[in-house]
Amino acid sequence: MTGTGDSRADELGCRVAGGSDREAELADDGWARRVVAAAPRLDEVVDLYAALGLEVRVEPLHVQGVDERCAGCAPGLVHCRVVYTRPGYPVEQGS
Amino acid sequence: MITAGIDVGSSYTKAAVIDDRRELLGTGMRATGFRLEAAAEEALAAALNEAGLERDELAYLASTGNGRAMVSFRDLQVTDLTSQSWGSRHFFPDTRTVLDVGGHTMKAMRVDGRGAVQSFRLNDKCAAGTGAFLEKTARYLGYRLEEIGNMVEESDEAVTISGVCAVFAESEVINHVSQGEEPADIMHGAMRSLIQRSVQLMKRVQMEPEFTLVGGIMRFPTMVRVMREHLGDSVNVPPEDLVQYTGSIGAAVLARRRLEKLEAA
Repeated sequence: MTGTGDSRADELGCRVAGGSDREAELADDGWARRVVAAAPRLDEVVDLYAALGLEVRVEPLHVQGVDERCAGCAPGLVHCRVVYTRPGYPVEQGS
Repeated sequence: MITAGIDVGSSYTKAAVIDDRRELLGTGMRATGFRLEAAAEEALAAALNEAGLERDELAYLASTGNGRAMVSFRDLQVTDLTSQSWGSRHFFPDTRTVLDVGGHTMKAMRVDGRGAVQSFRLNDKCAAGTGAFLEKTARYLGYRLEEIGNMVEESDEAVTISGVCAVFAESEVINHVSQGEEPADIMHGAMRSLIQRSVQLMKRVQMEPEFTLVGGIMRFPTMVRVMREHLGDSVNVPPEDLVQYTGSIGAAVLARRRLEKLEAA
């Protein structure tokens, strides 16, 4: 697999994307990369982060550079999106 | 007044019924399948039946889980973060970190003393850190999921299985089988792999004790024992099969609270 130096991805799963110009641009605007997911789980993720009062943004996943050993997963990754959040507004929880 | 919660999860739909004092009266569970509302109806009917209650005795109902919007007969819907937080605190009021390992999703969340979610993370992309991974491994070894609890108790030593990638982990399982490793040791290794991923996820929400573990696979004693190796004694697990019902119980509690507010208004 292609290492990206993304310690979060290294801890939690395979190492895809991260470190692109777009990622840096988003980080400058206060967006933090949260998770990579495909539908229908993607909708759930967006819903959960929004419920926490965070602003949510969904971006395409750049799959270039996937190691040949990960070829089995690569077609599935085409359907994945990257979820970013940044502080939004407070919401009720459980009331 | 009786309230109920229905948790429509990716694999199973669970229902719980509670009374005025928030005592649990009954539970019911059905495979979710493709007919989410039918599964919700059936799980609720099973919970009401166990409680010895009729449907018209139900005063308020909250749905939760990723299929919560499909429950048209709900009075309220809440996210599974909120319901798991309240369900965990129903059993263990000092809960500050919740780990929920479901069929296809693993979530870690940190909550405050009032149950509000402060931070949460969930597993990236693949299913290596979820119940589906254990189920698949069990199936490959020729066991059913419900058999692996007792099976793993017979393990002398866990074999090493990568926690990094579900596809690689599957290859490792196949290699271990071909090398004559005991199924119990392989399954034990798969559980440890899953737990390593869980702990990493919990670190990312700046976990604090007490820790409450929920989700179906937490009913396996080995899972809990290994989690305690990592996290110490401040690890709570709801009793017996109730590990699967914390979301629905939390939703029932939130339905109760909403009803109390409506009555007070």
